[in-house]
Amino acid sequence: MGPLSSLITMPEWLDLLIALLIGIGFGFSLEQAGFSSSRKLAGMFYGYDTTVIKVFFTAAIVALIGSQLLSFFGLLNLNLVFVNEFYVAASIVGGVIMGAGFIMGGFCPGTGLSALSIGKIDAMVFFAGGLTGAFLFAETYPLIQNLANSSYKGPIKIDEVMGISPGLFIFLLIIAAVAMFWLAELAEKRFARPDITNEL
Amino acid sequence: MGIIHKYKVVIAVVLPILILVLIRQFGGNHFQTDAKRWSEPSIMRSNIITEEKIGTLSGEKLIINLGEGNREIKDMGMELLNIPADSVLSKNILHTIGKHDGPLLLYSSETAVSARIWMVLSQMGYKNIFILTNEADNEISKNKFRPDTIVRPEL
Amino acid sequence: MNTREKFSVGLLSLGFILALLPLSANRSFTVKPQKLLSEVLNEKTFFTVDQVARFVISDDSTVQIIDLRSPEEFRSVNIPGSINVPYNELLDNDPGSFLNDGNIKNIFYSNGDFDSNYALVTARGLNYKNTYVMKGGLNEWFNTVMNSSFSGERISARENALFETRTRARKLFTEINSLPDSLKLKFIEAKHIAAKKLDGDCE
Repeated sequence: MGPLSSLITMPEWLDLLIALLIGIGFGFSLEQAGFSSSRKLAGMFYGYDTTVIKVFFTAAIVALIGSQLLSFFGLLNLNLVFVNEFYVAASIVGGVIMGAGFIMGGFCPGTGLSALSIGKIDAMVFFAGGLTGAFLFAETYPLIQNLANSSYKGPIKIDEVMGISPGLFIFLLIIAAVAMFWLAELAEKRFARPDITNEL
Repeated sequence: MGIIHKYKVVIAVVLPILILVLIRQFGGNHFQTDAKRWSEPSIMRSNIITEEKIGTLSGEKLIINLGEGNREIKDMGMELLNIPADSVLSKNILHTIGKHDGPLLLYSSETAVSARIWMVLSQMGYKNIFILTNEADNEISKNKFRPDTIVRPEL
Repeated sequence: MNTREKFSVGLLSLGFILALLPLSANRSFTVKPQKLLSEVLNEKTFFTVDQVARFVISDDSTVQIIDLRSPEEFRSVNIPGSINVPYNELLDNDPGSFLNDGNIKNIFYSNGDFDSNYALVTARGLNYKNTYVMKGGLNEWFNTVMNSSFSGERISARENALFETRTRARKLFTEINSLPDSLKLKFIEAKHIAAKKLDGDCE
């Protein structure tokens, strides 16, 4: 029963090799979806190109469905899978900062790296900005650590908080996603910018 | 016909998954999800029954004698199966247990064995299983400890 | 439009199937039934009260004794050094928080034979292999360790060893359980520190 790391004690090089292969796969799929273009990514906020939400929502749902089915068939022990810890205030503040950076720069960290790998100059500047931010976070940590560690909720899951079965939660999420896909289509028609989308 | 052709890719993905899920769900011989739910009767102690109280259970009763047991239970006038504890999960036994409609009573000369088998069967999703025992007060403390207030422990 | 439609239908069907399944965020047994059965029918999952008595008097740090009874029963009397995890709360929090250390033998006990064996199957089902049961529970502990005596004129070497272990365990049990609650815990901690100092204060 997975995860793999609970079945086999992997030597560090194998761990890193698997990470490398997964990373390459991720970068490849981002690049072929066209996410190295900051105009495509910024389109999410202006409404003329909603590929981002479709791709990422799809990825999340496929992962959700896949992991729950694997757990159902006894192939994956979900209690051993890492769940991010939730700090409420820190998540909100960090999310706002990240969102502002995203819309201004037209990249998020992952897509920024894939754009960097094809040599885009705006991605290099974006990355420099990201590293500056990380440096500032570390240097000012004693000042912000109260905020960073406040309202800790632990590694909770939404279905646990709502008190519903994970399957029901996934179904509701899929309904929301499908509704979002159709809304996105409408938005693209409404906010169309053919001068940009024709070049993408 | 046209609809099936239109959605053939969708059907090709969803149908196998549906079949596998159904096989798994109704196939038996695996543990259920949510271990706490299936151990509820042990927490409430509603899964323990003594000889006198057998009459309170409705339905046709089946006694499973795990390993060497007491001769007395043979004369209880109920259907009796003698099964060594390590074969309790064999296909035909599980089939018999699954088909049986009324309460199932597990009996063993060792309480520990029937308690363990109860938990394994319950976690597999079988309901209406009881442990038949002579000692209904097994989990009650039979000793009163008298503190010795004069003694002083040495370090 | 076409792709989006098919995609949505596919996702919704899968979501619908998942919504109907008995999925749960709670823990479930991860070991396969036949394997679990052979594990729990193995005699090696038991320790006798004499063996536990020996662990207790030697303050064996590779052993953790877990009392499955209610907090009130635990407070009134318990095996020295044991921790209290009431059986009805066993699955409420992550059992790994006290069962995770592979180097420690975790020995469950309750008053009798039911709860400790339920807990054993549960722990083994969740793949915690270093879990065991004290056979007979606290009732057996009282019968054997606290209340037994030897009769007859001769005593064999083995009986003598048992007698010694039981006497020392009886003494320790009485001393610790006679302390008022506040002192019980401090005494056990102090014993750990004293033992460490004898070891040259190594961790």
